[in-house]
Amino acid sequence: MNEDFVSVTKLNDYVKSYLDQNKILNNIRVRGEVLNIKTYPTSAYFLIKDEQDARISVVMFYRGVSTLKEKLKDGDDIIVTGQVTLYPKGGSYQLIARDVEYFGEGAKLLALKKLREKLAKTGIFDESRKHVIPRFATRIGVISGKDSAAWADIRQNLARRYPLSEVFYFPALVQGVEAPKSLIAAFKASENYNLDVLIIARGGGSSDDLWAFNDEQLILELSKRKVALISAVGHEVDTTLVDYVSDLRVSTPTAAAEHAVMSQIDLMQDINTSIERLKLSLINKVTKIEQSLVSLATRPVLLNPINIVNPYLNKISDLSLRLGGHFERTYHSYTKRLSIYQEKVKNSVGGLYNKKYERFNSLNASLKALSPLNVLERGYAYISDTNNELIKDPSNIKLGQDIIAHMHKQQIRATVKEKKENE
Amino acid sequence: MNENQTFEQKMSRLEEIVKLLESGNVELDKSLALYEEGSKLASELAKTLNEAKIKIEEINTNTNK
Repeated sequence: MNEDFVSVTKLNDYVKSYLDQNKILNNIRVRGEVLNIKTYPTSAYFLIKDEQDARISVVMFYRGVSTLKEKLKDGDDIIVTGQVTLYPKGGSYQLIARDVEYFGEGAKLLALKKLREKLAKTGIFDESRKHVIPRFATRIGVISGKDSAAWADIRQNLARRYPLSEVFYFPALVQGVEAPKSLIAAFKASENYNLDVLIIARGGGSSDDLWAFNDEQLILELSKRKVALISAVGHEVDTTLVDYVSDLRVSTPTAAAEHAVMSQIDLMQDINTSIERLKLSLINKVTKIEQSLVSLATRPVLLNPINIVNPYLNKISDLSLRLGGHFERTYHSYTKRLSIYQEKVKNSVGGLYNKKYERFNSLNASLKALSPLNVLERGYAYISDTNNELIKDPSNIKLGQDIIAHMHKQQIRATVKEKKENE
Repeated sequence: MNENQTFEQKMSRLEEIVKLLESGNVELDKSLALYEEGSKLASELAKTLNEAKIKIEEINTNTNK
């Protein structure tokens, strides 16, 4: 029997040592997509494959691969750095991973996550650092792409909602390598305009398009701001670091404008409600005073002040009868003094009442004079459409349109037959 | 009343007056004065709002354009 053969163990050991001594195979970087991953507390086993569907087994012991504690999962595009060796029991060769990193998009997202964590540690994203968005923002800054759709939306909405605004537009580059620098320059310029609110807006785009809004320097600059910041970058699903540092994050430029200012329709309603509340509270006040005056004036003692002195008069008259004429003179002097008191009481109470009543009447008249409905009593009318919407501008009335003239106590529905300018 | 008050200041004053009057703790004479001030403020505010026109200023910081 020939002795020119070796055992499987010997062969595998030989190949293993051959592979292990190869400097290239000892430290190689292989890119591929993760497949069939099985994870255990201290290790993970998976395949990586390339575009040609070529595969290799990978073993990863977590010790030493601490950078990738995040769950690696099937489909991840990664680069494995490690050693090619042979697994003697299976006779198959495999890659022992020393390090794993994401490739492409994955790498960017991981870097972004690290940057976000790093910045979060400095406290610049803390709730305590957030500015309150003022109720009446008058000076509004907008950083957005030059002549962009985002800017057009914001401008239009600000003009419609709150025409009292002064808007300062700082066009900037919003994508590409120059964008962070341009955004920072725009932000720094905006600091000189004493703004109430600053909006940073950009329409949707790929994550690459929005990358400038993750720039560390830009975030640090923005974190030093003195003004409330609203971010409207990309769509709902796109989150950039500008969103983290801002005081409010919204998903569209239109929403940014809506959050920056109050609507003038709401404001007008507030003003009108205030007027109604003013009137009502004054009417209540006057009614209350009137009631208390009436109740005061109708107390028996005031209706007939003689009641105050009557018991005394009776008593004196009784005493005088019992004591006889001796006290006649005294009695007369008492009654005289009493009637003087009586007059005084009458005058002071009556005077007070009259004075108060006069004042009440004058207030009531002033109140009535202030009511817009009084004008109607003088024969004027106001015009509304059939939905009772007030028509202020006659140019909004069309020929043939039905209108309602609101007059004192009556509404008149009419059809417009003719329109002409006042002579 | 100061004519130079901002819209916001006027609005706050109006709200303050409404609250004061509604509290009912104000004397009658003072109530009427407040009412007049409030009505005046309200019509000024409405006028300001109706006549307002947005102002837009563009500030270019792009040095390479």
